[in-house]
Amino acid sequence: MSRVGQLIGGAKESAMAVSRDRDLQVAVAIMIVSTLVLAWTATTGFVRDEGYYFRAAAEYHGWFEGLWQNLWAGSPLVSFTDNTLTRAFGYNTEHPGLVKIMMGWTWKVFHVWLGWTSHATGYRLASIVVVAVGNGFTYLFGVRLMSRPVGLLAAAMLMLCPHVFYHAHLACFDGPTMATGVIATYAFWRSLKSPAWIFGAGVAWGLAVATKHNALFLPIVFGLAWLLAHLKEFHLTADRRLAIPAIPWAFFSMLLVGPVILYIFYPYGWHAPFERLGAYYSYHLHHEHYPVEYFGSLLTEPPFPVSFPFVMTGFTVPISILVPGTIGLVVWVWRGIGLSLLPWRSMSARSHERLRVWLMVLSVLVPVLVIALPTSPIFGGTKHWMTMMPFFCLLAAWVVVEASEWLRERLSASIRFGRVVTPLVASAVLAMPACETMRTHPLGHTYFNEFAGGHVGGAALGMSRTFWGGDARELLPVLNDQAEKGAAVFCHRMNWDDFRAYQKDGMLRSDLRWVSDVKVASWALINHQREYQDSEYDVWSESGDDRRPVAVVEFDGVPIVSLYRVGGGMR
Amino acid sequence: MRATFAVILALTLVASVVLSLWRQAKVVADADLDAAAAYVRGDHADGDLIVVEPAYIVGVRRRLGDLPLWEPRHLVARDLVGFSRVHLVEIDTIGFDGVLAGPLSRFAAQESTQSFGAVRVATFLLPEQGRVVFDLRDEIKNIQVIARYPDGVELPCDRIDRGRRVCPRDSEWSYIGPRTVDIDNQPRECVWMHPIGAGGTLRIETPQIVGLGTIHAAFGFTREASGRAAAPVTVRLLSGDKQLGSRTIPVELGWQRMVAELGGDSGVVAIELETQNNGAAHFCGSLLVVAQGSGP
Repeated sequence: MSRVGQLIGGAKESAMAVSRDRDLQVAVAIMIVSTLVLAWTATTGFVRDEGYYFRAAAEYHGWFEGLWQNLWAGSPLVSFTDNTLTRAFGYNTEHPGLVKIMMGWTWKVFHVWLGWTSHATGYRLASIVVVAVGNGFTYLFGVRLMSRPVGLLAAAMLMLCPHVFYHAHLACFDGPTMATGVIATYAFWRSLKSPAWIFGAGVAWGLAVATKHNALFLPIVFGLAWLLAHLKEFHLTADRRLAIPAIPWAFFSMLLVGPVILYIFYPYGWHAPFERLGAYYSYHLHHEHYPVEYFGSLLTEPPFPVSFPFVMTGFTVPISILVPGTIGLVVWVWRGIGLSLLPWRSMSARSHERLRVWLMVLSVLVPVLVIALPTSPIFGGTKHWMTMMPFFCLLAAWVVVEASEWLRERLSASIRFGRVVTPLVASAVLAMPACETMRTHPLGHTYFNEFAGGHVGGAALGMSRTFWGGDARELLPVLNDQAEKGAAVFCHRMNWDDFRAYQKDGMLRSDLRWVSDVKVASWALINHQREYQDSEYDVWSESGDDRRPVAVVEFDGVPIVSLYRVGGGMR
Repeated sequence: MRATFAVILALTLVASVVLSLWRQAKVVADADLDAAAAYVRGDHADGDLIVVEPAYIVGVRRRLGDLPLWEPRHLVARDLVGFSRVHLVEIDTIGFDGVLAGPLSRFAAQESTQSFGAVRVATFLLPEQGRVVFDLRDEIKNIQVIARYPDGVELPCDRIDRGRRVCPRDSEWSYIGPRTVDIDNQPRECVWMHPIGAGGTLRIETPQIVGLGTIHAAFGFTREASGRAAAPVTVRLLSGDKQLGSRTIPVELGWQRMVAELGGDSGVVAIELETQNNGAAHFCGSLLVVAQGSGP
């Protein structure tokens, strides 16, 4: 290479390194902003499972405290006996420990030591941070596969989907599994060209599996994407042997490193890994089915309609994200088919490009298709296929940026500041989702989009209004204000752990008593879920002639949760 | 392709704004609900029923829930036995399709109509049905309930607890008492009457009713039990020892009605329930006796 060529090459590398540094800085900024916004807005009510996870996090953290004490006592091995591990980690074994262990630590640091957060936000901070990191990786993935504006817009879109924003706050695993999914996908993509990321891909997938079992589908996504990208490279050699293209090293890394990380973060299984991890996975293979209202019918057992996740996505993503996302998906599917399957195009594209397309397409489709299987459990609103959302937002952002580029080219001759076109279009796209996210917070999981007709349209269509029992937090001030001393409260879908958590954080008077039977309650909270509607009728039966709720959380007149005085007096 | 994206995106943004404005425009204003509620309350008299459509808007019940009020998805004339007027409160919001006004206007005369923005109140005068001389929901304390158990033991359900007549065995579910339950995808005011196990009989006997005329009874499994109850329930209506009618209520959604004419000036009416298997037989019924006329 000539001296000039070396200089140009050096300058290019330097420029790329600078821009990569800048991308990393932007990603970190996204992570920090996302963390701050989510922590600041963590006013969502405690959902049923959070009560269990708060307790699990505290118990798991107790093991570390025990280990510290045992270290000082010179007997650290005591902490590693099966008895000790079972005592510390034997609760809530149906999910791996990574996020719960993190919850224990964020609680310890930010609530106990620093006193910056409430009990609940201390626990929640762990999953909030994981979601925020995932959002940063959404940006990075967008930069790598598409462009910076796409990555940036996608990260904003993701946080402005009301359902995602809601779940991003919870001390649960649905937000984190979405985040670790995009991190693992990014790591897999990087590993194809950067050997340093091969180990990273294994670690990232291991952390994803140690977050929630959804990550088990990631190798299927990666494998199918690789297969489709290299379809034309499979052939029979002259000596009739099948020639297989080079398999990415990341698969081997995932196979070796992933299980080790899962094992590390499943301490309950340290002494009997096959038996106890087997029981964990078996639990999810035979998960019970909870009723779900769908177009006026109460679905209670399989087979469930294949349309469910598609229709629910179509009704719960703001349409200025839904429509471009769907168009992007269709275009990219078509592009993938063209690149991989049509003979006159397939050889012209590089396999890396084909893999890029299929990785994106399958990351959107596989999570939805898994839930679309008639035997898959469909409870839990949209959270079980939320892992598709970062990729769906990337496709939506890609369409928006492409459209704004076209507009910029048309307008650049007539207006001076062509650079503002893309930000302006992006702002227009984000405006309505932002309004809707703010309007529905902290009950974003109740949101129905413009196509559905909002909350009223959702109720008119006979769709589930809410689930998971976290809505009643909004009514606690009324209860605190009006309930008699020591009153018994029927809490419907709010479980005892959540009731105690509210009391612990001073949101609910400590003299109030949680009861599970309306007959002995003097106050009742009712979550408006069709499958539990009878409870409201029981309240009416106990209340005589007056069926007026004392307070209601409603959207556009549709009740989400109601507070009743039962029987007109103290019990 | 970029141009197509731009056009679709522009249309989407317009649609988003238009649909959101439409949604907001269809939200019923508190002032309209307040005005409608004040009107209904002012016009309300004994024997009136407030019927609200659609059922998923809570505003009317929040204001008028202390008066007789029903949020059905469908209705027929016999649902209204015992009432003299209906105030139909219709809220013109998303999904409202006015399915109740049609049936009502077929058997009732529309007395007046008032509009309060998005809320319309139509008052219907129901045909003369005669005086209700007995309503099982209101007479729990005055009835007699006998549980004949499969082992031959016959015991009265004498204990009254919170308005319910509780049977001596399985008192958690074996009682006779007023409840609101989801029978046919809508709330029904009825009397809980879980049958005794196979070989047993649950007998509910009214006191002496003066002014006999027409019996209007209805029975059904709760919505939740309609999918999992173990066996149908056979219901017999009796006047003294004379059987007025019998019906086997299948395990399905539905509110099965029985009507019988009674002779004489006074008498005792009884309901007997039997089943081959009372597993999950969450069963409810109603019994009204109207003194004169045949009802709608």
